[in-house]
Amino acid sequence: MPDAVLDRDVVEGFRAGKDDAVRALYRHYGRLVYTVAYRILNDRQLAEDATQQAFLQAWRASSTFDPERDMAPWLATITRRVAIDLQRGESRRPSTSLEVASVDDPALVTMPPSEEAVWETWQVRAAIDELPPDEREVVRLQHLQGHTHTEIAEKLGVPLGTVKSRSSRAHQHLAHRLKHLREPIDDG
Amino acid sequence: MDSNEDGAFLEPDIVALLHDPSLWEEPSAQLEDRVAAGIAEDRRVVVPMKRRNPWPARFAAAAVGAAAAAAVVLVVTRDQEHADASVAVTGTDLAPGVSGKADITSVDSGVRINFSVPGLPRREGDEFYEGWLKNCAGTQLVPIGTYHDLEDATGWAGVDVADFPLLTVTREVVAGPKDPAQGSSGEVVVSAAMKACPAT
Repeated sequence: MPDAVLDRDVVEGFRAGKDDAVRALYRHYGRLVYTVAYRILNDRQLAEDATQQAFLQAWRASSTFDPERDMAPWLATITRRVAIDLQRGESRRPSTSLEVASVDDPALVTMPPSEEAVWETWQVRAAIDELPPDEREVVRLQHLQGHTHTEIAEKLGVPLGTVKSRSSRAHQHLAHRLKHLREPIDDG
Repeated sequence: MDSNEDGAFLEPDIVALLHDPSLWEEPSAQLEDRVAAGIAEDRRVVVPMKRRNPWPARFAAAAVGAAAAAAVVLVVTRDQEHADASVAVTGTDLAPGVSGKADITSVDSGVRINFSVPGLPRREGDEFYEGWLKNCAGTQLVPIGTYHDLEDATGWAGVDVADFPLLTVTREVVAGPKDPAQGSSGEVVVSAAMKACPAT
């Protein structure tokens, strides 16, 4: 459950640099940090570099973090900053001319995602990771691969009704889990 | 209900995110080890401490007329001097289990390195320990002093520790002026790193 607040002992252990706490924190948040980094950098190796750097910077700054607070927004902010810095560094490297540059050349990426967009990415990934594996796979095949229910049923070798029910449960869970992203801000 | 109708549960931008490959990417299995190793290395390298700021106190001491009073103030300011950084020093296979720290302090005349590393057998007569600073490439070596032991020992360097961030202490024996043994024996007993060197 990536969004559950971490045990205070893990946070304190992380601040002390204890290996088991560092690993516990990574297992809790590592995939989410990586997802945000990948979304910004669009490169697996760079995203892993950014993930490592984000955890390192979080550790270095951990004495300033209030262990009573949720660490997720803080980590997401650090990750965004690290990834943007890395992206800028990459874009300064010698590259090919614009005429022959590929569309995913980091030099062509100019506007990084906003903090809100990064937080939305974090939340959606967290919600996906909460799904049971069979429901998660249906959602992945449906949205990432663009398969229909019938195609998914054939691919997975399960009845069409099973795919439909898994898909429905998964989407309802995602909608419930992510509804707060659309709730109006109460500024009263 | 078909595939499209499922998406009606969700806001369009969330559906768009579900189409984004970054939402489904998995980091490599080795990344956890990299993260843990990176923090362990950083933790081992430098424990930041308050920067020393001895000068105002020293100038204040100079303003004191009486020599006795000045002497007292200087003793106090020396006690209050802080190291720039403290690094963990660990024993190699030649000194297993030995550990301690080295306080690094930059002053006008150079860099002072104060060892507090108990547990090394005392070397006397023709045998001694020698401290070194080394560059990341391992191609340049600067001696910082020779010792009987490192329990409370001080080394000095006239180079920038940023350029020579690796600290080692070797076992040495007395050698003649032209003897190649004047250089490092390579028998490192303890080591420390004042900053991480890039992976080669």
